[in-house]
Amino acid sequence: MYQVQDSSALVRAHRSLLRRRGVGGRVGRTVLLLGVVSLLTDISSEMVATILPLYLLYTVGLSPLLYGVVDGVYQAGAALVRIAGGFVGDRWRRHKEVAAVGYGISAFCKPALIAVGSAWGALLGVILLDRAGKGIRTAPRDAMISLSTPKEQLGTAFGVHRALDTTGALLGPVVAFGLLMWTQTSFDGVFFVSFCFALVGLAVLLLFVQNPRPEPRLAEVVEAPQGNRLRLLAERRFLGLGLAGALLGVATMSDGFVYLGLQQKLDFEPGMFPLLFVATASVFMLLAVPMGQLADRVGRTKVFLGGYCLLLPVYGLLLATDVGLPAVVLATVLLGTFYAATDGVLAAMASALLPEEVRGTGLAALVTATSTGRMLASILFGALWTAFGYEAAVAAFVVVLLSALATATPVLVRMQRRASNA
Amino acid sequence: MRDRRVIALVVLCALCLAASVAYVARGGAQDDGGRSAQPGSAADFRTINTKDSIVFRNLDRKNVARYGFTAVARVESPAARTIEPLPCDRVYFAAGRGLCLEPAGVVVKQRVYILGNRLQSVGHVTVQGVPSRARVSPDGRYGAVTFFVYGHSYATPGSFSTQTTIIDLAKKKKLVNLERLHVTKDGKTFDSPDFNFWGATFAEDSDRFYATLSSRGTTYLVVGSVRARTARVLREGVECPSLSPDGRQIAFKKRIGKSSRWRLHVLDVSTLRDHPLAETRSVDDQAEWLDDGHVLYGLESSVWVVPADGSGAPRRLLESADSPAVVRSA
Repeated sequence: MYQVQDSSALVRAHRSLLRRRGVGGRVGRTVLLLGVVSLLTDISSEMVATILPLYLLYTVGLSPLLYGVVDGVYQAGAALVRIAGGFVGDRWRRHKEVAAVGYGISAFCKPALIAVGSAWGALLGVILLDRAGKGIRTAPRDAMISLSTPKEQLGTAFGVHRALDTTGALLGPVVAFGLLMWTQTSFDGVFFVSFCFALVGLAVLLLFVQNPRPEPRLAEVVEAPQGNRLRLLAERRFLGLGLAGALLGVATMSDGFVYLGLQQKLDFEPGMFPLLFVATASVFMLLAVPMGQLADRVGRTKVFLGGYCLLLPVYGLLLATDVGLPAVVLATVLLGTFYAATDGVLAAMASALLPEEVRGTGLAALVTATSTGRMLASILFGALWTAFGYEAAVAAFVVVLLSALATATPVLVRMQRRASNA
Repeated sequence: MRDRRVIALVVLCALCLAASVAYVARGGAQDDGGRSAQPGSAADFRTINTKDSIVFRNLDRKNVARYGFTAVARVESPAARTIEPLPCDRVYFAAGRGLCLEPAGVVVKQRVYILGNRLQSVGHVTVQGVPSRARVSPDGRYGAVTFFVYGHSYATPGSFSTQTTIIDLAKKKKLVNLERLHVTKDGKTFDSPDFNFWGATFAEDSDRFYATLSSRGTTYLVVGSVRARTARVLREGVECPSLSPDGRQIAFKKRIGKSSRWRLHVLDVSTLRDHPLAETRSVDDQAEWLDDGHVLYGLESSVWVVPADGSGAPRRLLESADSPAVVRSA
């Protein structure tokens, strides 16, 4: 008795010691470096994303609707590219190289944008190639994060990465906006600077990031035939997680619909829309690390499900008759916290479940499942809104969310219990 | 080894920084073809008051630098156009006053330039969103602009939100957002938080206007009064109305079933009965009247003309153009 207490106290002391060393000391070098790569790449890609609709409209005369159609058609393709990227990285244990191909493709699409000018066929080709690059790199990057992090710190590691990633996404539009506002440059200048950011990001990856070494005891499994490899994915706990992710995705109203509802209730200036996105992303950025740490400490399932519970008061605000500006602030904070509690945490949960040799493929499949769920949610919400009105659609989503939580909770709790038993 | 990698990264960063500065500076020194020029015209524009003219958006891709710029052509010789250094997403002109919707950009607030007699900017108001429609009353007193606040197309009902604002062109001020009007339907107050208004058109007296109101997936034609701040539902299934010069007919786009296709129709203002026009392709535009018997509209990067009585066939009037506004000589 005495002995047991003593050792657990030791473990606790060790943990708190680790905690006190701060973020830099807690997460691995690889995670931080990959975060920096993502930060630079996101500045680059968001710079272009910010001005792309304008560029297409202005220079090419392509309607935003047509662009939307092309983008929509591409979504399905993106899932395939993503899973392929994960699979190739797993198969040859070359996560870094596969990710580099993805980052490289996207980087060199920027000068290509300048080169093709207003030939709109070629331009669309370049844009699709750029997105393909993004699809390819996601899974191997997340696999590297998880493979270079001890299991008990996965939440924190993904939190650090998502915080850096979101910082880049916030800075990108600022850089693009600043260039157009304060210099005489036009679009090609923005593309060029974007290319430079991407190039430095790629350099950080190639020069400093190393492929995580496989744990020696798994060396046998690496040589397993592909049939086995895929069977590892079909493991029941992982399927449960994918199902839960997709279900909860279907119950998630897109930010745009939330903001629109608030806008209609309060009749604030529509110019606040981008501001709301920025505010949500900022909360996500600030809370990603604390939420990841919390998940590592009290359990990822709790934090993940808790995050989805935060959507309930958001929906409630949309149904309330009398709301003021505090409601907008509250909804923004809740949404940002929701992202911080779910996005990286889900990746951490999956990483803890997935055998190393299918880590990339599994993470890619999971992202595909949740994003398909979200896409369905948008279509569903739009249809409900058109047919029954906004508030009825929100009310329906409250029901959908409650049922999704009721279904997902036992699955995830059982999964976690079995994981801790193992 | 590690040091060498750090040096490599530092060198790359320095190179990138230098190249970026050089590239951006070079762009500033270059002539950008008037793209960054403030709206304003040096050309003599008196011609549009003496001869029937069309003000429109130039979509000629051969000169990319002037793509989307405002242009003017005479109705009698539409092939010759004068291009003004005035980029707009939508342009309209009547009675010596015009509106130019600044192209959607990185800036959150969009400018609506108020144009004077010579297509020069005499002031602006700011609105938010993606520019869509613009109209000036026949006497040049008011203007109406429609912007997408959310979403960017009329194609999917329920997934977009528009706002239509009436502007006092003389005072250069926003007068009223149509969502603030008191709307009645069958004599009773009609109100819903999901109201969207788009595509306004003014009558001769410039107080009366028509517009599209949408709620719960249904579109209505409303007639309103600027002074009284009221509007009344006239009928269903009318989008982007455009009143004829004699005020007797309204050209509009009618959704085909639940699709995102529209057929141009004309309705009689006194009976509210409508008939389709000879154009069978889908038209997503607020039509314009060439005269009381002919309707103009933009489609596939050209401006077309079709008889208003449903007879005949569409004819291409302007190549590489859209957003037509007919300016009638006094």
